[in-house]
Amino acid sequence: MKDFEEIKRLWLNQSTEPVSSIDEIFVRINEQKKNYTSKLLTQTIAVAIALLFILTVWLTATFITWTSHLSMVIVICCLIYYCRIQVADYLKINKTAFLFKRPDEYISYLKDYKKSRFKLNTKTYQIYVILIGISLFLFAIEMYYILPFLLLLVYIILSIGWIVLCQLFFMKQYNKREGERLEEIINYLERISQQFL
Amino acid sequence: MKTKESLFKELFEKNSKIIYHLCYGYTGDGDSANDLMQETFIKVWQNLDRFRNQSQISTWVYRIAINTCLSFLRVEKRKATDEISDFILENTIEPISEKEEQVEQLYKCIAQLEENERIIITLVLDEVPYSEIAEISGITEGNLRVKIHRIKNKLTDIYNRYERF
Repeated sequence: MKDFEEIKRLWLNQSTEPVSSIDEIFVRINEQKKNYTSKLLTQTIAVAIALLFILTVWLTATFITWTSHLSMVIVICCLIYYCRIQVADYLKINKTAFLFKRPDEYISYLKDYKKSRFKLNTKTYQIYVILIGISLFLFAIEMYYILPFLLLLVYIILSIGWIVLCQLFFMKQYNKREGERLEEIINYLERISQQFL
Repeated sequence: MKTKESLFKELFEKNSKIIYHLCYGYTGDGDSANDLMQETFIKVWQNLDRFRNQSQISTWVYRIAINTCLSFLRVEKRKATDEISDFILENTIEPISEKEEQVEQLYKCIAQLEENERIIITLVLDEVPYSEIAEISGITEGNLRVKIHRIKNKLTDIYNRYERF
């Protein structure tokens, strides 16, 4: 039988030491910095290539309807918006004042943050599907004038297929997976938040 | 005037052991504790210029460590609470001496406590002043003393129960 003071002596005399040295931490800091930079760079390059491609198509092709121009503008806006939220997200990581808050405040911040991210992601995804739908429809008007009927039919079927796939498969799958994860996280956070009251 | 690097080194030297114990007590596993300790100090480095001297710098570092632990279990939920004990029991690290075996045993016992109890008791065991623990955990000192009394009894009970077997 040991009393608490004996347990404390055992604890204070333990040889359990951190394995990491300060140099390892600096190595990780540099690695993280490199990762952020390369991720940002990859994203920016990917979006730049896509933008360049669309701009080339827009400038070189001779569209006969104004709807095609609008379609291009919508796609370009989607790409810029995507790039903007990605960059903002990277810059935000680990630079939050909430890290220094009391645990109960931090837990409540985490809960709100997770919920808002889920809402934002599902809303953004829905907006993406709607805008791509509109864009494909607007482009279909141009196709109606220039493509033979069979090819037009293929274009329409592929467009509808993509929208249906996004809406009924990808979106549902994402909502299900992320929804379950969110529920698990919220349950856990609610349980521990009770302990810090 | 200290440079950022020398201040960081000083913080690491003074606090890394306690932070490691805290993370180990919280996760019940040395590898995760090491990862969490590293993550804590990375956040400390990234935010060092934001420290405003409203509290002791150690309090600020402990808060980051605790919030990092809370976030970790949020992600690695499956290893948490009930399953954490099984995880530790299955852990095959061979204790070298009887004393180390006892320390190992003690970590197993701490892992059976509630999350906030693990945080409080590891800080108590590392002799962090009560006023600082109260500030870190955001509860009043009076409330903290009551909690500590209860956790001490709970931990002693669990430890002695283990020791009988």
